[in-house]
Amino acid sequence: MGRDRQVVASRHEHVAASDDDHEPDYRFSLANERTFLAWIRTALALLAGGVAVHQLVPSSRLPGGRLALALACIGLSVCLSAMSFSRWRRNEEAMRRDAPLPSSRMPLVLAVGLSVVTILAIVIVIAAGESS
Amino acid sequence: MTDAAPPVAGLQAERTQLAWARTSLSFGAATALLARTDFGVVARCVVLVLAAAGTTAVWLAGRARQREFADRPQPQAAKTWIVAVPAFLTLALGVASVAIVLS
Repeated sequence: MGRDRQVVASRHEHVAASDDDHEPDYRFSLANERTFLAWIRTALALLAGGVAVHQLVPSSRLPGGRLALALACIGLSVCLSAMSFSRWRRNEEAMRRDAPLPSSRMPLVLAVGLSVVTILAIVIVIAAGESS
Repeated sequence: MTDAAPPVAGLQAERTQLAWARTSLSFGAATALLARTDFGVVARCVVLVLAAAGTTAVWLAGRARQREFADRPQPQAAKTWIVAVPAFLTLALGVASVAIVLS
């Protein structure tokens, strides 16, 4: 395959480096970079969502509910932005060594975090419906 | 996917460049929301200045990346500091937002 040939070719260009460490195929590096940027945008969207909840949602019968929802969104955003950088770097290092890409807890964190956010939102909507 | 290296190279760099542009726009949108929070006038100005500086920094990191693409015949992996700029600024924005929401 062309991809395999590309990897072999780029390895030969960097014979000066050690056998274990080489410049990876730039397409994989750039895909890793775009994935990192997509995680950052996910974190930014959650951040904007949390701030919007804090500013726009009227306080209902659950006064702490709005704060909890905002903090859940922003906390998830902080986790994702912190993890995304180290994930990018670990992927980059693995590709340099031709090692399998390390597994990541980020999808799990996002899934659990979004579940918490959704449950909080449902609770707030129900509470608001009862109070009106 | 046999001998299509040159056009693929151009599109790879372009897609990555567009991802940087989307990210700096997202950063601008997120900080614009933050600037709507009702503090005093002074605090609001500080938030606005920091927001503009952060958005500009992310945009400039993308520009630095674009210049690397333009200067080299073949795209290279991103330097660590360029990737660290949006990661660190988003993290800082998140921590600042927690402080603002709790205040």
